[in-house]
Amino acid sequence: MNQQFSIPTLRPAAISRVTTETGAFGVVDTLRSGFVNTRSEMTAKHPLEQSELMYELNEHKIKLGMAYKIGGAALPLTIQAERASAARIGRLPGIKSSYLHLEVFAGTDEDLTIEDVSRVPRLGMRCQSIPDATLPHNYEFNSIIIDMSYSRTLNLL
Amino acid sequence: MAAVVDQMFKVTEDSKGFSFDNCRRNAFMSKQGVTFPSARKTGTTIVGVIFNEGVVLGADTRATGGSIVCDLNCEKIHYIADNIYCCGAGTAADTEFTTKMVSSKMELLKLRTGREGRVVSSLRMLKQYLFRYQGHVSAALVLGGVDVTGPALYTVYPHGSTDKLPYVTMGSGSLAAMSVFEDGYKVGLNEEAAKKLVRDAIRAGIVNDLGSGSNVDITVIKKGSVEQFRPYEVICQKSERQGDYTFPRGTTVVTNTTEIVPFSVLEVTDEEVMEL
Repeated sequence: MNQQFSIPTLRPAAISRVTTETGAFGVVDTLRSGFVNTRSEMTAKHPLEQSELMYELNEHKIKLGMAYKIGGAALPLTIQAERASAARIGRLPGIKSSYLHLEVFAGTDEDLTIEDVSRVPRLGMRCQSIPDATLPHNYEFNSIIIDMSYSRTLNLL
Repeated sequence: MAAVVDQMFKVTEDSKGFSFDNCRRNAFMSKQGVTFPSARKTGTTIVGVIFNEGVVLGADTRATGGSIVCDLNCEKIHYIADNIYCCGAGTAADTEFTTKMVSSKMELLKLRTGREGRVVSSLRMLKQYLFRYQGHVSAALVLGGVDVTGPALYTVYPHGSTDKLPYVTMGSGSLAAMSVFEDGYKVGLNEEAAKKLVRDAIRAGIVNDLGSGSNVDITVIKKGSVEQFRPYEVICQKSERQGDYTFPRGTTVVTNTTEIVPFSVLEVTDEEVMEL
């Protein structure tokens, strides 16, 4: 009956998402992202690639669908609202947010995945980011909720 | 709202975990005829049986890479929790990483709940993880342990399906081991009979399967205690060298002698070192 919160299948249907990294003026930045090969972008590199890209989103949809069945129409909406506002809590521009509220709400602060075991970026290998480039593109500056406790200490690590 | 949700779940450059960047290159190279090194597998015999007080898990100890034996004494019975152990067959790295990850998750769960972990919790974590990767993580596992609900024994297949059974075998030597189990299993075995049955089953796998070999490892899990026998028995012993291949002095005929004059490259000189 309700299309929006129906539980999707465990194996998500393949949706071809053509994502090209565009630089200035919407043109493909060859220096940073290499030459454009449309066929290689259209075909999948590996059968798992699509399902891995959509895994977290699909899990979230399953949880919302279950919440709809268990708690009624309001529960998935409140979950989405809290999650959206938790994702916007940040520190000053140029400093990456800790997403603590989001992690606690999602339950990932007390969970381990294969990402915590394999291909973890080592501490010294992270690049310095340009503060202006790290500003979120689609949010207005005055609508960022600043996490006040961190603005005092300016913990850069 | 949907656009915001999509933004939150977008995969960024600093994503971790499995990377598929080289898959296209590898497919191209294999089409050109390049042979890749084969993954280290545990072509294996792993078994488990429930007896009256708990669970006995058994495994052989050979790891192969293609047709070469990589490791004569590898450990196939992995620790998950104090009361739960898991035997692993398939690709050695996959079983190792999977069991280590589930062991860490079980510890986190134990700290969160304040209770001893259950075998079904680790089972569900394993099966959800393996299903996510659709069988590409080649790990066939025998999971056994004793928790508050009693002894439990499960098999987990690489695609994520599971079975709950009183006696199980997995790996390339599973058919040989299962034939021993089918003949010898009885409900309510005592500990010694269960250990002997597991030893016989692993021995059948070692003797009849090329992918299994060396020793029999056994782990006995009871309520409150775990006993590990590593090795329980050595089946394949390296034989003693039959002949002596050293040549006695005087075997080779001397045709010419040259005088060796000692020549010193380093000349020792007295030198005074000035100190400040």
